[in-house]
Amino acid sequence: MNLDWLLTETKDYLRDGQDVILRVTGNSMLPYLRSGKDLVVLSPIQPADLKAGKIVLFQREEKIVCHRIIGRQGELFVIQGDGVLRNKDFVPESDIFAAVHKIVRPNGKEVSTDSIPAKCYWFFWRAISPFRRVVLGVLRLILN
Amino acid sequence: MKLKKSAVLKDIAGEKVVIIQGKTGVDMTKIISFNPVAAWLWSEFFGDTDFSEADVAQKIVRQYGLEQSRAEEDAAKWLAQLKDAKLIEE
Repeated sequence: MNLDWLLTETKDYLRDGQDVILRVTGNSMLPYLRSGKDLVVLSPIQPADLKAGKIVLFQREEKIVCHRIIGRQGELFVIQGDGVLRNKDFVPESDIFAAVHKIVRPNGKEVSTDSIPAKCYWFFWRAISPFRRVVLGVLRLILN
Repeated sequence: MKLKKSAVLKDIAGEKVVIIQGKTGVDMTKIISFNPVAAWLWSEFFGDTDFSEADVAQKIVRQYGLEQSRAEEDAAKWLAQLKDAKLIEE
């Protein structure tokens, strides 16, 4: 089976108003989400989700990407992974189809992305932006 | 025993798979792929009626004309796989 069906199925369930659980692959959301370990609970996108700090799911060509909205430029949302240093995506609202409200950690614990610790993390991570390269380098060393 | 109510048999890209629609959401991290016989058994036994291993064996004998002992083995194997995947409600 290839991954196209996963995208199609996920979108279908979301369109039906159902939440969908996916496993995180790739480390572009480090340190918040770890590849192969954390699960994200996706909910159909609501207008209130389209704001800076929200982790959303969008389509980039044939792939689905789960990154954080960091701002807005005209009609487009500026989206970047926490673990990404430079690349940003400029995405129209129509390509964003889900928001992450909950994360399931490997021990089964569900944590809200709207909680105070989650907001503190985001505030801190944004504040140390110039040093991200160093922090991410150390994290990748530890994780490998 | 019964088959898990929140599990749904679907046809995806030509394959029969079971997807669990749990409390938290539709779980796309644990999709179980079935061969045609396993999928057929699933559709036969899915529902509110309780069934036993003997019922499964009997169904296989009727459908495929297998010997009783062979059908019992197959039934046990199918159920063991379902138990492993937590698709059985006792």
